[in-house]
Amino acid sequence: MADRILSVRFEQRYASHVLVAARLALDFARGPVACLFGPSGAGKTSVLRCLAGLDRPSAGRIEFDGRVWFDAAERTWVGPQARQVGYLPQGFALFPHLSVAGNIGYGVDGGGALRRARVSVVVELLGLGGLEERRPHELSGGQRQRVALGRALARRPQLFLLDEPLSALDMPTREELRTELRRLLIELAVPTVMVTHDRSEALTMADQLALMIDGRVRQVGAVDEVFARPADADVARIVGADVVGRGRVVAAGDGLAEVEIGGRRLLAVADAQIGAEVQVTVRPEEVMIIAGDAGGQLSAQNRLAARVVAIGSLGPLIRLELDCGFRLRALITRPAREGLGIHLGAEVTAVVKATAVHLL
Amino acid sequence: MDWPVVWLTVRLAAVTTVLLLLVGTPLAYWLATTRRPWRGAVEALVALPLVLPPTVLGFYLLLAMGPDGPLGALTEALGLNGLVFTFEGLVIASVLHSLPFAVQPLAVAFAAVDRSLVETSWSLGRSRTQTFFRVVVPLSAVGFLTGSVLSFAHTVGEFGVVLMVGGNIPGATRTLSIAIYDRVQALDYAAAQQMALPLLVASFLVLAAVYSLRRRWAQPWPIGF
Repeated sequence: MADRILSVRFEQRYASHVLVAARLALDFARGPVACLFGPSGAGKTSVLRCLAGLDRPSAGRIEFDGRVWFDAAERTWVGPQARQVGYLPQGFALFPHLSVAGNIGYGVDGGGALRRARVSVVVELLGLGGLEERRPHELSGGQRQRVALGRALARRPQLFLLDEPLSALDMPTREELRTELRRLLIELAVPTVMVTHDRSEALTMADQLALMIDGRVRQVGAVDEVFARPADADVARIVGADVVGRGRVVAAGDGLAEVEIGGRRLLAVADAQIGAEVQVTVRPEEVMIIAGDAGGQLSAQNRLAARVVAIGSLGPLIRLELDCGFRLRALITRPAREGLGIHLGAEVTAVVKATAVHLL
Repeated sequence: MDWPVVWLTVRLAAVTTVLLLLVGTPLAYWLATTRRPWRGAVEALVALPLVLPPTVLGFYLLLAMGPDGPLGALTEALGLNGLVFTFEGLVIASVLHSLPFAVQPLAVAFAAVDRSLVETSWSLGRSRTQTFFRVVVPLSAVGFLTGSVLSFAHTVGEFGVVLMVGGNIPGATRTLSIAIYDRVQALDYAAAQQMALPLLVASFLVLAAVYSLRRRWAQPWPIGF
């Protein structure tokens, strides 16, 4: 799939109001799974429906793997039947009147023998053996998801379009299936565009990310890139990079910048101009906590004397609120908390690498 | 029991039901899926027989089928016999009169089919027509059952339209309801009873069967899983 590039540039209008404006290019050579990520109502599903050919944009162009699916100026339109995509809507839309085998074979053209052969290959591949005669309502959520994937797969799609494929599942299953789905998608090597509003889902599933807010694609890139270097404050808020506060650049050079914030100085890897006002962000996962007083200053590392002002729980992790002249958040494990003897008011040292400090 | 009358009534109801399914299915699907503004007007037109007195419908059909009416002129131009007081004329009248009884259950059933199933079928390469027959029709089985039974029953039970358009010609237009009316007019209550009672019992049994079937069919397809 070396040259499988999805190039999207379109507008969806209602009356004269632009509801969705999507502009993104995804090269699936960088990894098979791309996530459309953003809060609910950001227009992710609208983009996916336009890719599937179920909605027609008002203007623009959609191209995949060298084939034009839509071009408003040239009046080109390829319908959903001819796009060879494996589209999974939210809730999977399995045909309730057909068995598992009937669902999987639904899109396979050709005679009964060919269809049966293709169905049995897919059943084998997805580990659905023994369930062939079941009806969708007799399956678990995870099995339904696999049948829906299998139904799309049996048609040998060039592109998977998955709309919140994990949101219909219960919580424990969901986290298990996240890894399983990712493994499966990599194994199948079918380029995938997946819609999700769940941050940890996007982080664990995606190779590339297109981040949407209010109907606009705001940032596209490798998943680590988008999470580590959000393009602006809105994106930073969505990806959860904690905005520490506003600071002023006091020294810069050689790709490093020193920022004054809350009476302290932070070293950041960034190109900045002296005197510039910047938003400083540090992701809580990037903050390391050491007990006691600050040691010597290491190069490219910030060591900040801090006091614990709040302790909260975030699933299996502990979320610390630190005061070190400005507010800083950190995530640590429960054993780490015990080991460090952390309690409200404890004096600790927060260590943040210069590469983890971002200036917007 | 007057068997020729029963046979004629059943034949009329069966032919009408088949024609109604053929005409009503596309019409109902259009009504269930369209967003055109004049959809409301078409819906009103289809529902008209529900509120119109049968004599009014019968009166206008009589005018249309008469030698000076458009339908009468058409049949004459085609070299066919007239429609008034014939079985064929009765079929046309019955189809129009029972139209809402076929279209409404079908339209309700079609509208209840989850849109995402239809769209998924399209993206699995199936055309709109294939999707209709492989997804929409099987999932609307209850609508087809209800529509058929109601159309059949309503045709068996019609009286005013038949009397206006068909009259009371044995073997051609004398249906059960006309025959019962005819016997009552002749004060032959025993003969009327012989026809009326089986009709009552049969109607009840058919409806009871339909309602229990509907419940059972509705079970294995839970909506919104």
